[in-house]
Amino acid sequence: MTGVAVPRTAERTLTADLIALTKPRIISLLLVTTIAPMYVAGRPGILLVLLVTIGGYLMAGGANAVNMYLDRDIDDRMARTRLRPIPSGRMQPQAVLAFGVALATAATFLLAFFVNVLTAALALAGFYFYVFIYTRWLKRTTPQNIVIGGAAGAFPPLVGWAAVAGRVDLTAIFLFLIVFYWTPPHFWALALLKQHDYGRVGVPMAPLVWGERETMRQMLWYTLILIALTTLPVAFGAFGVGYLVAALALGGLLLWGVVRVLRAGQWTARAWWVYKYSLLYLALLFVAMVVDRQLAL
Amino acid sequence: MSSYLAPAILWSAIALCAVAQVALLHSFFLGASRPARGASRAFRTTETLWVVLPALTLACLLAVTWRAVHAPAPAGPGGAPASAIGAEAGS
Repeated sequence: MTGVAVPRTAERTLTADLIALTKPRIISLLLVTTIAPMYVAGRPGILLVLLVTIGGYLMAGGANAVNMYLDRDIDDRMARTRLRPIPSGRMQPQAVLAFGVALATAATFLLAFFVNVLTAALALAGFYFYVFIYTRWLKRTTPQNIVIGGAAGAFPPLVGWAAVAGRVDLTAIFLFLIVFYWTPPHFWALALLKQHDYGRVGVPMAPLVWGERETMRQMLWYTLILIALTTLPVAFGAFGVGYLVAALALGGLLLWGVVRVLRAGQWTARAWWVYKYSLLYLALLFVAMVVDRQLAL
Repeated sequence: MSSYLAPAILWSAIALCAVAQVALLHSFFLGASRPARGASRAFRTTETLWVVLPALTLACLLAVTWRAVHAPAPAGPGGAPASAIGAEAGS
């Protein structure tokens, strides 16, 4: 073997850091909301699913890496983020930016050449929305950051749908809006718990600007809209009664959790429950869509 | 699906969305989430946009859904309604 030997631990740390830059735990849910719509739109081949999974991971991972580059000035002052590769000093900011852009570029070409141009365009739109609209503009300027910024996380269903159908229709728009309206109750549960971290770095999260009770009330309103939107595709025949029962049961449990937060004096444990359950909720809701559609086909 | 279920879902969802959306708008224009008095005009304008835009989008979506539910549904293969067939375009 020639060349300079790299210490095994350092090599492993770099690999771990590169993976950490993509925020793999967050991407796993994004991939559920990408792949499930593919099976709602039709019966995709395994190769297409694999290509969209890789492309989706690279694009979302690229967006997350660029987000860490842009937020490097506040990440080292927040307990939740100060161990990330940049604030901990393990990676240079420019290297992280280059890594993120490279991942997004690779994803764009992969999706455009091997899937279709619409899929690549939608994935790239999600990248730009997350980086420029959410991270650069809204995050530090408005308490509505999570509401509007939620659109960035709602692109994956469109990507998955377009990969199979080659277009976007009413059902796909519903999937987009379901994720859009799911985001406020999901993320504000976390924002309630981490509000002091956000306050320390000047990010105007809803609990800091509107107060805890108003944030909880708005979580309730968004949850009600979310439940309504999850039932509507049944009305125009996109899903059947089996899905309707699952959507109402899952949504009812989420609503119960949000009401419990709203009514509690000590709400910390209940907010954690809503945050964790909302992750499971979205995954199970999309699984229910797939099961319903595949049984109907 | 039974003939009364689709309108029942539609009108229940419209009612739920209307109540929640009115509450959100009320909170922004008159309640706890309205912009501070000292906020700049530009900030107020963009904040208003962020609240009104989703409300308008939701209203448009409900209108489109109403049309999809009430559109004549010629029987397709297997007797599926046209709107459901559209969702299968890629299969």
